[in-house]
Amino acid sequence: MPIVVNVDVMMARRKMSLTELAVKVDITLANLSILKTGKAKAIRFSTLEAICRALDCQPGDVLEYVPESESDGD
Amino acid sequence: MEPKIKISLPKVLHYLFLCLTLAAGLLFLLDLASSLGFTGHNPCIRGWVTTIGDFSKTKNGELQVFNWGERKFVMLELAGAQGLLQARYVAYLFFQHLQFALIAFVFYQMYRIFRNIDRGLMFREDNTRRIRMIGAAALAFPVANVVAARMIAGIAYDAGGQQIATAIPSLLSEQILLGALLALILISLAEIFRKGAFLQQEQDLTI
Repeated sequence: MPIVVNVDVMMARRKMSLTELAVKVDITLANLSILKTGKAKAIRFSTLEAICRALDCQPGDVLEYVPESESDGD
Repeated sequence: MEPKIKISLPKVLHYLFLCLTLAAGLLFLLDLASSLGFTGHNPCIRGWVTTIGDFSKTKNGELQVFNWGERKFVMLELAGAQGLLQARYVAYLFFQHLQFALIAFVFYQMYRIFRNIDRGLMFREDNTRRIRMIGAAALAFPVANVVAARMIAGIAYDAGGQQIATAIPSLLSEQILLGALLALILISLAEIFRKGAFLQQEQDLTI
């Protein structure tokens, strides 16, 4: 998928653990893991809002568009 | 405080189909053992036949019955039957027991579906596959029934000094038509489940 989720990058910048973020965003670790590994098919605005609030960032910091050919090379 | 056990319709159906699967499996094994002569007597044909008074055979060996008598339940030992009858009986046994196996198979698939539903896993790929297989079984069942009936239809033999003929099945193709219709409905239902499974997966992967 050309949309890359950079939650782990933002978490590292904010020095926040997965468990801590899960508690702040109020979602399960399993769902956060799905999001972090890029297996998620969609993200609700409410979840995105909670993540942005918890990580003190903008949606663009968490989500990034990488064209298919570039992401293939990863 | 003891945990409360919730009784729901899927749970009841889950255990009901488990019992039916076990019963059908047991019945299948008992009938097979009986037909093959493992239960004390020799392999035999058991079933309802029609006694006949007057019949002849055509040039190509087909039976022409002029007078049908009453229906009676008989048991004909396989050892006493002629070669052609034995071959037809073996084929009959296969298709007859295929029906039993299909019933047990359908009950088992229903049991697995309701076990999944009881666990809150309704729209899943395996449920879709199981409904599709039940649809196939719904078509295979009447086909096996018709073939089994044809195998021992119109056989005349002597039993205890009385001429007896197995019943010639009529309008059995209607069963196949009904089976095909049921299979079509089930396969359509499976298609709805397949779409449901896709939507469920989308929902599960929406964070």
